[in-house]
Amino acid sequence: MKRRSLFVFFVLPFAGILLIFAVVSFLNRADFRKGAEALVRGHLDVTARILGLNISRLLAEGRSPRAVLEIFAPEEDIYFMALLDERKDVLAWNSRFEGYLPLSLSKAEPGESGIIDSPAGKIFHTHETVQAEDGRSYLLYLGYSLSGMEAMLARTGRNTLLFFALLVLVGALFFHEISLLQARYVAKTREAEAERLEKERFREISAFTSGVAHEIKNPLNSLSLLLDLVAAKAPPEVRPEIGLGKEQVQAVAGIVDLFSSAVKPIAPALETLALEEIARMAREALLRESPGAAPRVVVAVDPRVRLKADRGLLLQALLNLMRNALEASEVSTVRVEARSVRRAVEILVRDDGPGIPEAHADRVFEPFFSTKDKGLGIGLYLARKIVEAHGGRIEARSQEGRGTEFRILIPGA
Amino acid sequence: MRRPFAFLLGGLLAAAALGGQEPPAQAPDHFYNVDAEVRLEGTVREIRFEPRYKDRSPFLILVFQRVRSDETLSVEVSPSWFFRQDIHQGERMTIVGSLAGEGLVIARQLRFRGETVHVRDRKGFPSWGRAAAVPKGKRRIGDF
Repeated sequence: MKRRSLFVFFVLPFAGILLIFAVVSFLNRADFRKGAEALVRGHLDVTARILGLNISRLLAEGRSPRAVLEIFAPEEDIYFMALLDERKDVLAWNSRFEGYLPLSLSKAEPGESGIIDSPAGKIFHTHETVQAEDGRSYLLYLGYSLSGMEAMLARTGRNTLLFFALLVLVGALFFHEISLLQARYVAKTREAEAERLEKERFREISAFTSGVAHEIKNPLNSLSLLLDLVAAKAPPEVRPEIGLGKEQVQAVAGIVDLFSSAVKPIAPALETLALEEIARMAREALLRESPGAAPRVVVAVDPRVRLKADRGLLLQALLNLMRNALEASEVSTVRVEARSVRRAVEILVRDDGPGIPEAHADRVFEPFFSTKDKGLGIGLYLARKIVEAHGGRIEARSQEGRGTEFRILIPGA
Repeated sequence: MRRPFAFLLGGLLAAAALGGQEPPAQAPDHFYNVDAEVRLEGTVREIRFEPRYKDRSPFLILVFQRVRSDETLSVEVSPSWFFRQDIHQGERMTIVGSLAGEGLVIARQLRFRGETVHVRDRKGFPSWGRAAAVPKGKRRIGDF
């Protein structure tokens, strides 16, 4: 997925969600504040009325305005109060804050109310008429703030902010994971593309090599037949040379066959096989090539080890590995072992030759890579191809001077 | 030059000296009257610390003589612990405040030596009051 797509399909919708959340939170908060203010106003009206009645009664009892207001001073939600006479002279007042009575005598009219935005929060104030029993009229000026309202609003704001931050954090983590997934996906896509190109190139080489092999083998066959005819009619003293020529022709044909098989795609015909039998067949084939090497080649495979494989291909792979091991040195011994590992079969082909130099360790399975004078670099490459075609894997472990071990892990029966 | 600690120490000493002393009975108009705001220019003649409100710290009071007048006024500034500037006797200053009775001014703003100090807002809310308003359940009531 491209960065632009990631932005359009993930970042943009998430930003939209955040925006909607912010707008809804803001509207909710405004609504909540409006509701809270209406509630405080209602409280203030009722409180002012009740206070007015009580003050009226207490004044009628002959108490001084100051004494009357002192009775109500400890009320939690009343920030300040003042009692004014008909001439708007302040008779008494009290306040939670020193000297603070935001009373404007020019606006002191019955029913007049408002909100003061003070550093201590919003203070709602009103002017309430107090009618005393002796007929005198007073004006009660009251400042009121619902205790905890500001704290509640602040808490709501904090919670909203916290939730918003949490949302952003979750979103960031989500995008981080998406980015990682995307990076992995891109890497795998590139890898797959490279593999596809490699296979494509290999197919082309394969087709080309097959064509070349076909074109070479036809004249070689004709040449071989021709040499047979010549040998039949030739004087006996030149026949050995003709025979030598034919051997060379066959050697060239063998090389062409080897190359041809190396580039051909492998399609194994699977059957259940006893590994020991295949290993012994490989040993016999190897001893036919090197008759004197019998004591140097040991097969120690458990007869119970079975696997699903193509008989001919598995034989070819084992033979190639054993031949490579035998050729490691003139005195090295080759040992083939195998065991079942869960659902797979582990095959080990070991030699005690000079080992693979560290610089060559990574290249032994490459086609046409060989350190031997007469080697073509096809054997190990072909062995790897066969193992991989069976869904297995092969690796080489070597210590210079202490020998080499080829380990094949291939699905069991 | 600011010497807040020196002043603060002075305030604390004054508080200790005045400890237990009740504030005098005050007139009903002893509040910051937004309708009676004045601007005064003059000289500080005396600096005092006096209890002004019940159960409160002593206040910084300046005895202030207006320019071209023999009349002196008592200027109520703030609790001594709040005011952290250095004031000297004979200091010239401009005070914005509210007349709160005979010869008494409650200061809102003091300007001296090119510096302006706000002790109340335009409605008379004390600058030290926000902190006092925060702890819930601890109502601090003045005498009036």
